Amino acid sequence: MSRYEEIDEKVLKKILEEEIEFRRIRRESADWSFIEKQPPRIKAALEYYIETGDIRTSSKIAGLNLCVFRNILRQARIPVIT
Amino acid sequence: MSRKFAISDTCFIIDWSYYKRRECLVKLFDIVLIPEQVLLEVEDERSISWISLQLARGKMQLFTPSPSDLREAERLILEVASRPYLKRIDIPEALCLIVARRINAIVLTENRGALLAAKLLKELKGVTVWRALEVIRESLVRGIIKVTSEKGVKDIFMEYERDTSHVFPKRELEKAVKEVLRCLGMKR
Repeated sequence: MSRYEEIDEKVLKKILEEEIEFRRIRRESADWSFIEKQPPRIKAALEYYIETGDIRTSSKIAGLNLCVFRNILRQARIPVIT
Repeated sequence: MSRKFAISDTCFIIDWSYYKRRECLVKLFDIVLIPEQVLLEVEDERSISWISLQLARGKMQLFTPSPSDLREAERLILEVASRPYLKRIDIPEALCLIVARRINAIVLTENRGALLAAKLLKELKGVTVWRALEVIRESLVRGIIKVTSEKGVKDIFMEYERDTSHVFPKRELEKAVKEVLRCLGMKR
């Protein structure tokens, strides 16, 4: 017997659709000219955040504390959406 | 009557402390637990000063996880990582989930990984996770935030979005507004 849960296909489809929708909202809301002007690590971290919504990994890529990175997200007009 | 506990993750509390109606959180729960690992991540002045004030008032409480909590949290991180349909979680949110399960607290998080883990993992069945959306919804339903009209309800949610640069998913926001109107006996 599998140790993993049986996940309803509809639930998985909904999760995937939400991921796509949230990513689109982050992409469309972002101030790309602000992002382009950032130093390489911060730019990479902001792009990673737009793709994944994972704030902790993004802040580590940026080499910044999570709160500091959250404020950069605000400046870049990238919303947190969950 | 049992006391109502919540346990907060970092991503929830750092946004929540920017909300002008943030006090409703400590009216909704008897105690909001702040794990040590969460407190260490909060460096923003506004957030840390509000959390410190609540700790001083006894509305929040610092939570030091035991070695077995940490081992459980590490195990949970690996369980989540082994499933392609889940999103990764880290120690702070993993701790919130396992402690909440043990003490029957509500997890406060905006971390999608934690949200999906609670929804889909068999071992976390019964663990309740609230985002700001649910905290505001409950504050409205219980009259902690007072409103007199449908527009008033929507404005409260929008106010949070403005204060924190957070966006509520459209469908879930509509569902929450509908639920509040139903509970308050307001017609659409």
